[in-house]
Amino acid sequence: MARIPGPPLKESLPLKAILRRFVFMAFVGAAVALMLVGKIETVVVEELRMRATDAITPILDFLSRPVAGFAGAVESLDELASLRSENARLREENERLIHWQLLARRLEGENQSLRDLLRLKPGPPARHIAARVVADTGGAFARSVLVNAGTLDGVRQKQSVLSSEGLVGRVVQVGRRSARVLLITDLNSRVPVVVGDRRLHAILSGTNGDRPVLRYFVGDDTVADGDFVMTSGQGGMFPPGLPIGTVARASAESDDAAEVVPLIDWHRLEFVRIVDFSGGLVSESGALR
Amino acid sequence: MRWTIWQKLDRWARLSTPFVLGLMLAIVAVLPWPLPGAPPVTPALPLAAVYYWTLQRDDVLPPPAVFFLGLTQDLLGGAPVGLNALVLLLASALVQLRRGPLARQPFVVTWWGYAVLAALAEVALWAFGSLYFLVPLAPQPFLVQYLLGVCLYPPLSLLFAGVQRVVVGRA
Repeated sequence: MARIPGPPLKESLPLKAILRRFVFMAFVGAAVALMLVGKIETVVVEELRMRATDAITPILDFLSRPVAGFAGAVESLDELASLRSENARLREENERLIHWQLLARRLEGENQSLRDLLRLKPGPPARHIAARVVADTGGAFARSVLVNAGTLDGVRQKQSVLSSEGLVGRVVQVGRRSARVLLITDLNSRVPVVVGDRRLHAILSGTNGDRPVLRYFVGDDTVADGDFVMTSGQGGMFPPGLPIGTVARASAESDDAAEVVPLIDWHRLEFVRIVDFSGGLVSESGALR
Repeated sequence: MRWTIWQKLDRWARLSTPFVLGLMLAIVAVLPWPLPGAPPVTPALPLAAVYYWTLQRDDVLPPPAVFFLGLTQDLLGGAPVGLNALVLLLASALVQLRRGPLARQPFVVTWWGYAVLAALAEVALWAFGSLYFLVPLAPQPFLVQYLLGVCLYPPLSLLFAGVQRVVVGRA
């Protein structure tokens, strides 16, 4: 009997190897399916993510303490090397700041008397929640950090997050003991800001790089290097007047984007303040008060 | 030979050590490590685990274990959920194909093999990630992540070899 031509049969695979292949394909399929679900039904996957991080936060909290100590040691070694130049720089800065302090005092008094004159309603008082950064998540895909405070501590979604230097970002996910903070450098971050003394309005949008960019200027306004950038409070997402950074490379030729150097040193971000802005302009349901 | 329940438990604990170690590495990778001058990155430590164990003992990290390592990485980090799981699975399959010639080579050769695999993995992460977000992602963090991963492989493989000798080897 002639043999039927066709692809040669493989040496009979042991059952185990066949099973392993099948399992492998099944899990590859599961991974792809998860990605698709995450793209279409973001809420479901993000809920899963928050549950997982919430469960693991105590471990991260425990482990991040020695890491912070290690970071401190590295930093002090680093500082030791540049002690002399740092000292000179600080002396110079101090002189400059004393000048600013005088100016600020004078303006504060002037401001107060003008407010009294106008009977201006002061902004709503804010409550602060202190938290530790326990994980530096994201990396190549997103810029976010995990902090060890959650709903139990009064943290809610969309609250602003500050460090001693300036605006860090806002809370995007809250678990019971942890919350994820979307940094202003993240690709999905948009912050309404005012720029410079002329208070030009723009949107600060993250790029996943270290420097977010300014977009959507109103009119043909241009900004200059060194202009100060702070939140405008438009949209009710962030309270107005939170410091963010200064403009660098204002003359980007390709489009209207100018880069902003944030005030925050991302490598030293250890403690943050979460600002409870619940007395703000927009209530939970989104209605104006 | 009939095994007592304690012998079974002991064997099970020994064989699951590489997986637990991989999980711990996934957690360690997201801690806020200080890297002056570098963008914040999460080094692909579980990839090193997958590479080592697939080469040396491919029974201790079967596809489900590899999948969950990747999933942990995705859930803790900001990556699209399923992305690292997919890339780790593909990487383990790739190592399976080249397992025979690579496993008995001196360390430098396996290190070089890891460098090649990690490069492919980072390129895949970048490509799939860019496709997912529909914008080309900045390549710099992937490069830093890659270099960090390659530099960390020697100490990690020492750790794995120790675990293999002391814990897994007798199971």
